[in-house]
Amino acid sequence: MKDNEDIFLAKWLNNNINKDDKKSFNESVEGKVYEKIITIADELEIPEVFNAEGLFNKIQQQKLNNKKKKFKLISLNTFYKVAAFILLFTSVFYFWKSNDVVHKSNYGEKLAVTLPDNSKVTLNSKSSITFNNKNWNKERTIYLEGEAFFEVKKGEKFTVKTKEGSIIVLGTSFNINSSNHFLEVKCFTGKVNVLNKNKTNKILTKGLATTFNNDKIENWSFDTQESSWKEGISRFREVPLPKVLLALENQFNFNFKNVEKYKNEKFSGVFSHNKPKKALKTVLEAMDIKYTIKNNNIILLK
Amino acid sequence: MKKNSTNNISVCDEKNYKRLYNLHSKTLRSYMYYTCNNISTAEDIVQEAFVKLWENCSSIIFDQALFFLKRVSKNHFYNTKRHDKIILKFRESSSSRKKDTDNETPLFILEEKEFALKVKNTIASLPDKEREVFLLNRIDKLKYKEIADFLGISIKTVEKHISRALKTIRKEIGNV
Repeated sequence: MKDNEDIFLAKWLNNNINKDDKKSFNESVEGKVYEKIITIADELEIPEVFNAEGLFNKIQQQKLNNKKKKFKLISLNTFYKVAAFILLFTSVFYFWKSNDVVHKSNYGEKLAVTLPDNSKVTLNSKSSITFNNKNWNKERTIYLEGEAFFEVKKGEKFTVKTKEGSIIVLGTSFNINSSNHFLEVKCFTGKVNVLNKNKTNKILTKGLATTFNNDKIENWSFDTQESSWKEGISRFREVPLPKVLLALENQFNFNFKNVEKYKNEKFSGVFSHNKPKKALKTVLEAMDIKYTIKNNNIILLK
Repeated sequence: MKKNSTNNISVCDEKNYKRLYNLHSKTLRSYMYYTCNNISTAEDIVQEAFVKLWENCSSIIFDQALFFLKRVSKNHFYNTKRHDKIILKFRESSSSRKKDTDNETPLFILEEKEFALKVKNTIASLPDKEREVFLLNRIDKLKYKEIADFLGISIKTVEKHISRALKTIRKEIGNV
């Protein structure tokens, strides 16, 4: 009953009461006051008429603007991501690069390098080695261009990589002379495993040597006591003449012309590092090659 | 059955989005006006709510859009904390009033004006819920059922709010 009392006015307003009740209420003083209130309330309105289309256009505009903002936000985000990635990549690259140690010898220079494990490398002129300092304990791998003498401390596998093949040892001393299509390995002590790029395997022991020359393999022996390039004397045994001339170039900063003619000639012998002209004469006269010298250019005749 | 059919309607579809706007924007605008009492704030809130509806369109079911709009609007309102005194105006061309007042004396007209002003001011100072419901009924001409649906309350509660609002106004007017 109380509930009905509470909502009577609402029901009356909504014309939801029986006719008799309505009639009696409408004719009462209170009913007339309420009628008046409703009349006035019904004349009220919101100060501004609703412009539905206008507001919808505003909404559409904001949707568009937000989309742009979002796009900008995303692209900025992506920009940072890409930038961070590049930064990371370059820093890793530099970090990695910085761990790559390079040793290079110049014309006529000999360079002694001690590796992190106290193994020793002596570089002949115009040669270089590259290795990763950081990974050294995990992987003793060295990249060689030119000629070098190695004295490897006993330990894990030690690998020398050249263009023409890899030399794998455990602990030994050996000499490698490498250039394009040419690889010569001489074993002074211990055992050396030579793996050329054609996957041909050759194990060398003391006093044994192997030469890969244009895919031709030649095995030979030598006297480990005889002097070598480390003592200032370059020693060759049936080495293609261009390789010998290259050794002369590297040693004395010569520049040979017309080498192609003699590419099939082979040279056995030595030259000393202290007198360039004498060394030149030693090699070329032995091969019966006439030549003229212009500055450091040596032009081969015949 | 009808509910099931509307469940598949995507709010992300511009057509359906516009439909929701046509369905709810006017009532929401009025409702927010009766809540915050500032028409430009109310419209800003409606705008914001519909933009948010669009941004979240993929996760909102068509039937729940109104609930979402209302919640976003209310949150926005509480965040702005803007609460002015409601200003309502009388309709310019009121035929019924003219008829009543045409032959009345100036004193009576003055009394009538005072009466109207009192009603107006009392409505402005009604408790939020009563004012919202009463004005949605009187100004927006919504039926009790529609108000109940819009606010998510029962028809009985709507009736209580309206009755209470009327009683309060009557009390404020005093003896006539």
